[in-house]
Amino acid sequence: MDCNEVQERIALGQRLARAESAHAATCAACGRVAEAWGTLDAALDEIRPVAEVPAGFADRVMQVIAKKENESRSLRWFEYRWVQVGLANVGALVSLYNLFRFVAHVLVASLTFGGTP
Amino acid sequence: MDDAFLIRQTLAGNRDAFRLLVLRHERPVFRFLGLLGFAGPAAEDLAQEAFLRAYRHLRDFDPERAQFSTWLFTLARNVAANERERAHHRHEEPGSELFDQADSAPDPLESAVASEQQGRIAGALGRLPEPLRAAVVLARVEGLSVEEVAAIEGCAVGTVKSRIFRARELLRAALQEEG
Repeated sequence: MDCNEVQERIALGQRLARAESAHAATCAACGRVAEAWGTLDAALDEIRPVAEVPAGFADRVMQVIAKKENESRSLRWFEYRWVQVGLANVGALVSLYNLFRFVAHVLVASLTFGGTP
Repeated sequence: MDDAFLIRQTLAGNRDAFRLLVLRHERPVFRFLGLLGFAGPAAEDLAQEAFLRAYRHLRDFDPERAQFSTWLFTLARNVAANERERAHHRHEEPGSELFDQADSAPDPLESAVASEQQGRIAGALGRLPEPLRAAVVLARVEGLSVEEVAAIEGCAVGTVKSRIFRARELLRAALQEEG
């Protein structure tokens, strides 16, 4: 049995295996460490706070979940993915059309006025 | 019915399965939040947020890597840390909730106190810095392994050991001082 290991477990408040407890009971060094932490461990073991769960807590959680899911289902028209993709495509087409018009306008102007001095 | 079965059922669209998970784990979550210093409506808000996050991110949970309860403690710990951060920005005393609400609401720690020594240890626990308190509560009170605490706290096992040891030293000193 490794005394360092047992003493570390005791100092960290970890539960000892049966063999480790038996060792701590017979080993003077480990026994001293166990004694040093014994009062604290006994006090910590006594702390079992009454976890007051409010009545109907689980139902309230489920209500919130249901509400949030309903909210996400009833999207506004512009929140639908296909509407967003469609609007993006329309925007891209309009931009391309304007670009084409601009280029065509410049080309036409240069052909009309730039040909003969 | 184990947690893994209920999780699979929830993911398949059975909301009642998640309700069972909440019922199964609500008490440890409230106890954990209570020991971190949250009581009354604040604890309920945080517990609710932890369960909502669990529901939203259930697909991300990997049962191979951790137990559901460990994952839930992680979520509860994160929402508690966020709340503490917000309280800090509001210039409230971190961790004061535990003691402030003693007058108006039943306190999880106070209600557990059956003896003077328990009162002293509860008080000392409440005064510990947050990371030390979380580590010692999870390890000693909730009985989690050092590795599980490290997973919840998102830090190395060595760091957890050091936090637990430091917390226990402070608690022991507080017991001796007041005793």
